Amino acid sequence: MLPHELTALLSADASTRDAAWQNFVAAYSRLLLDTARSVHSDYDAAMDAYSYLLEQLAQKEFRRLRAYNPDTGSRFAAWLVVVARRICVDRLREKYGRAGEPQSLRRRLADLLGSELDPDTTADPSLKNPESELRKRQLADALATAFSRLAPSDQLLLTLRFEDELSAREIGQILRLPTPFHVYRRLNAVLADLKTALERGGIYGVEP
Amino acid sequence: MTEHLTVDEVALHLEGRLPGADQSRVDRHLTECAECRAELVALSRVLRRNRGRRRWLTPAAALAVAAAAVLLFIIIPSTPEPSYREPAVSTTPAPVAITPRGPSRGVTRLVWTRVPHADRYRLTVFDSSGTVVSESQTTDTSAAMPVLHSGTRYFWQVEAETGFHRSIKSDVIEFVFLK
Repeated sequence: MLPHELTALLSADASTRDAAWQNFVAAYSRLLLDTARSVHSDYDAAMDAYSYLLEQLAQKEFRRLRAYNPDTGSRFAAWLVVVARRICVDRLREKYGRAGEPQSLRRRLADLLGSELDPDTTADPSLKNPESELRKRQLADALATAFSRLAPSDQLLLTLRFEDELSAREIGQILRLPTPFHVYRRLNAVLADLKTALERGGIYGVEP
Repeated sequence: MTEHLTVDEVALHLEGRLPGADQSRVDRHLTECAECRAELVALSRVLRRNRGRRRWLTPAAALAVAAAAVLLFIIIPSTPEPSYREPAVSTTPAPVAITPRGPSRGVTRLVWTRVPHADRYRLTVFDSSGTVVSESQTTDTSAAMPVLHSGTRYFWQVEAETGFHRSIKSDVIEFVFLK
């Protein structure tokens, strides 16, 4: 079902359109402003993006808003924030181009599986010989293979934790786990599975 | 990598409403695509901040609510204070755990930041199954480390009491106690 502000807006005629638009903006301005702020930390830039956002949503008789289809199952507010953020991000890209790939912050999973499994720390850096390089590559490959065999939800869990470095609380909110403890328990279980998988592949420690 | 997630896929994921078959595919994409992950994380924060907020009320509706509240206040006799109520919504900053965090060797005290107007702090240490290992109260912003097993993962949280039945909690912090 469409929210009533949207229904009123999309069915408004020329005489009631302005009032319906004002009602719509009043109902969703906070959400849209927060969405603009999620892209721009600077206050002025966020306000500027918010104005642009309203312009874009109103354009061509609310063409973008007409694209909402409640039959997909998503609530309008969730749908709207996705559309709004994409409008802000696209504008940013038009102005400044795409940002380069961010520096990876990945804390290696191997740290939690025991430092002995970390490909970067397994070999003595002073010993740059072909054998240690090969060993490093084998360990990295084994880790990548074991990771790829995890369930997609577990891969995402590990990525959010060790690549994006989100807190357990935030991961819980994103993955619908009720408390940080559930996140930690799941993490421990997945890491144990990963370690077992590596051990099955003959990887126990530093020594080959 | 497959194409980025659609608006509907992100919206449904934000609400936990993706059908099971799509969930795996979307999770796999999110694992590989930092851009879609960043979008999901940012919008999850936006929705969370707005979830508790009330929608606007028309002046007429607001007036009706106010009138009803006044009538209730007049008609219904006051009831005694319940023995327990949820912590009040507050703008008071939560205490921030300073130490221990992560692997902690030789740490003898748990330390956190001061919360304005807090008259007492309640400290809880849990093990990884969520079982309470130690509970204590103090007016200070530190407390002695309880007796713990070396090499074991624990969690701790501090709750600042800022008034009668009012309190605010820190995040749950993970640490590994090392002697």
